[in-house]
Amino acid sequence: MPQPNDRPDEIDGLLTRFFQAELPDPWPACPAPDEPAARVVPDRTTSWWELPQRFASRLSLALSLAVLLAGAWLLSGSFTGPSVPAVGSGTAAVQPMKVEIHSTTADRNHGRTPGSPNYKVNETLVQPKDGPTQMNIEIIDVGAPPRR
Amino acid sequence: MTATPPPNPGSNGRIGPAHAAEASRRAEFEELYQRHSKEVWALAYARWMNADTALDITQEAFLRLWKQLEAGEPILNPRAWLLRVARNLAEDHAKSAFQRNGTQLPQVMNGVESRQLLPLERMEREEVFVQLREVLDELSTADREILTLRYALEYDTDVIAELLSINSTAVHMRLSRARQRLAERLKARGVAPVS
Repeated sequence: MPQPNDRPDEIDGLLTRFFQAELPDPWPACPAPDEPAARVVPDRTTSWWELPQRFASRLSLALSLAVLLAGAWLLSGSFTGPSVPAVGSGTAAVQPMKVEIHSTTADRNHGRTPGSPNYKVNETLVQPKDGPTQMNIEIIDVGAPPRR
Repeated sequence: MTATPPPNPGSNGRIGPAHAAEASRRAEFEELYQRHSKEVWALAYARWMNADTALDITQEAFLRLWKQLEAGEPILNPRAWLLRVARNLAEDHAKSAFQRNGTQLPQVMNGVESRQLLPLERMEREEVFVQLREVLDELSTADREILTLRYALEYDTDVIAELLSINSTAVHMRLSRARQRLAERLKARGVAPVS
């Protein structure tokens, strides 16, 4: 069976010139993978040892994640929220804020479930000057309401 | 060819078994590189039509081969293993190339533009090569593999058939069809091959 190169024509010649021009010349020497110098990013005159793009992108992704985690750690640690000015004081004085909520099941149910236990719930929010917000919940059994 | 440096002898002046194994591994690696690196490059080039990208893929493929050898994992057919790894790496490159370049093809970024004035003949040749590259892009990767092996490495059809695990008749047919298609498309573009 005749080989393609037995009938040279213009396309053959063109393809040969094109692909030969694409072939790196001189051909890069065998790399030494176990030597650190073989993996160093080379100067711009040679592209053979350039650090593949995906390694640079993975490094930047790792750094971004590290910054994100560090930021989250810093924010969740000793962070204290902005100071809450006293109502009506007109100043930005930092004072502990205390919010108390008192409710009873009788108030909540509006007497719809007679015979149900009656509890008193005290909910207190305390925002100290230095420290995390504290929430205290106190449930007091005030006894069952009288039957109707 | 890079000469393998002799292993450092131990304190008693004798080369231990670890050093001998290392030297043997290096020698085997270098031999495989000499034998198959251009083939690996050719397949990677056929996928991306970019010589530098193909070199990066070739480097990565041989780096993985080295890791396999270091790990002591046997490879029954290193040539087939390398070509398979190169094809997979070339496909992986597609994803990262899209992220880097968007919809731009790598070869668009690989312009040969020079600010220096070129001789007329060289300019004409560059223009023909640009047209040829665009027409080659329209072919399938499989056809480009055969063309690259044939015209870059000057392999005959039997060698190409063995490397690609197809029969010689198929290689002949695909080569003939690819050449004909190229000729028609270049003619349609008004491009005449420049000698």
